[in-house]
Amino acid sequence: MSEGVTGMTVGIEAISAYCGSAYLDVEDLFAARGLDRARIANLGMRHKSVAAPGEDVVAMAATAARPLVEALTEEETASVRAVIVATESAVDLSKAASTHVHRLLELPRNCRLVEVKEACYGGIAALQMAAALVSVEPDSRVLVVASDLPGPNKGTYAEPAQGAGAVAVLVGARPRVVELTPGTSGLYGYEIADFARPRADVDVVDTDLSLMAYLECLRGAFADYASRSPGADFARSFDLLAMHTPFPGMVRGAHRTGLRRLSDLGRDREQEDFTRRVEPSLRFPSEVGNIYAATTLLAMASAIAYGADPAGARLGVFSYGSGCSSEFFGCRVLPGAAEVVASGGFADELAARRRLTVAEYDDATEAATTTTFGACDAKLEPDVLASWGAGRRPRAVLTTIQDYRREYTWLPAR
Amino acid sequence: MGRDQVFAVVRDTITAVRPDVDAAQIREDRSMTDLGCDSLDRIDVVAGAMDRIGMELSTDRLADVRDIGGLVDALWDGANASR
Repeated sequence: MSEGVTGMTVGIEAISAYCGSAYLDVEDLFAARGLDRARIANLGMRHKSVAAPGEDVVAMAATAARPLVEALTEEETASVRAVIVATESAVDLSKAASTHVHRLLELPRNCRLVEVKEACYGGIAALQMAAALVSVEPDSRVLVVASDLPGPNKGTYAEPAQGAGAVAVLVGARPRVVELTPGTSGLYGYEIADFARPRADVDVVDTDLSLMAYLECLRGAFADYASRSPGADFARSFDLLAMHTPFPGMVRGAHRTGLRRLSDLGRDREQEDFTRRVEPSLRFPSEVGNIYAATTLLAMASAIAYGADPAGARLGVFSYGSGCSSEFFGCRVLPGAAEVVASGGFADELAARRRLTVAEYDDATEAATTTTFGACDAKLEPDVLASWGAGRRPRAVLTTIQDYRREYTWLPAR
Repeated sequence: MGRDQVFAVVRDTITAVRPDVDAAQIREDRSMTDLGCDSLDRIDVVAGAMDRIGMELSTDRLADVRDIGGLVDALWDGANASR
């Protein structure tokens, strides 16, 4: 892996995820929808996170980011010069979700508040933009939060893999999680009609086209990376890999394609390589599902948390967003990073989520449609929300929408 | 490579990816989904067929493929164009 071109250190100082307080067992959903159980193996999912009524992308973003902000000193808080929210489930066409997140987190006003969008690539796009901002203002920090909710795909094979959640990262010049290498990313993008969300209640998806575009982008982005980092090898340059995970089975297929097209590793070694370098990145996603703009960041956290020897590991990251845009980059996992990831208690929180019945899940999904983009008026009951799910930490929730204006509050931990 | 040969490659790749599929059921008017292939099976077939033919097809050439005949057309067009 080559060094960054800016000559300064920049990376992820802290990371925090929030993926709901309830889940649905994927086998329960297959049974209820009459889906072919033989497909579960290729899907690679165990559970999927479900958002509570009132947990829109703003609420989940704020809940994910709160521990990062609470851990900052007053001086460090003042150094947060930008909040970037990445989402493909925006609640407004004009106003950035980060304005609400900024208010909920009581961050200082000398701060850029923006939202970025490019399907599932949004989170990594925001991370790289944050690194660029920090590199020109080295004493500053940028809060990046990727947050997403599923679109309507009831009864399809996409539904079991659709999760809900947010991942927040604090980007700065004193990284403790990963050190980035700015200016060395490989990029690949072009217009293609594989997925779009033209309305809050419409997902236009061509699954096969999207999976083929993902694979083409992996090859194209890695080739661009290798052209800028001579000697880069898909099989040997990285100790761990984290890739966008629409469902874990797709990453297994992408890894196999990567090895066969981008390396000379023998086919007899593919499984061992997958288990050692890729499988750690799939632990969190297999419990949560696809959280779109946040998925690659979740896979990175998973690789760091479950990699056999993460300290100092070279982590290769591939992010793909339908439409499409993609990026491959390398970063270095810092000593102590696994402890930083574990300190948030995310794995325990996933295990403590409340299990929903399919009927409860359907009710929650239906209720969520009343507060998506375009909703003019809605009223939610904080008492009902407070008792929903496991609620082990303070959660932001939407309480009202009045004339399109959204109001939020914090629910205390139970 | 003739179109019949491209179809044979697609048929053989489907049965390699999914040995449980009866080769006689693989017809141009059917889709791989009809044959019980899931999304990973389908991309394995497309990528595998391209490997066997020795070609690379831009993904957007697959946008209108709806059945096996459509896939054969896309691969055949691509193979001829890449000569």
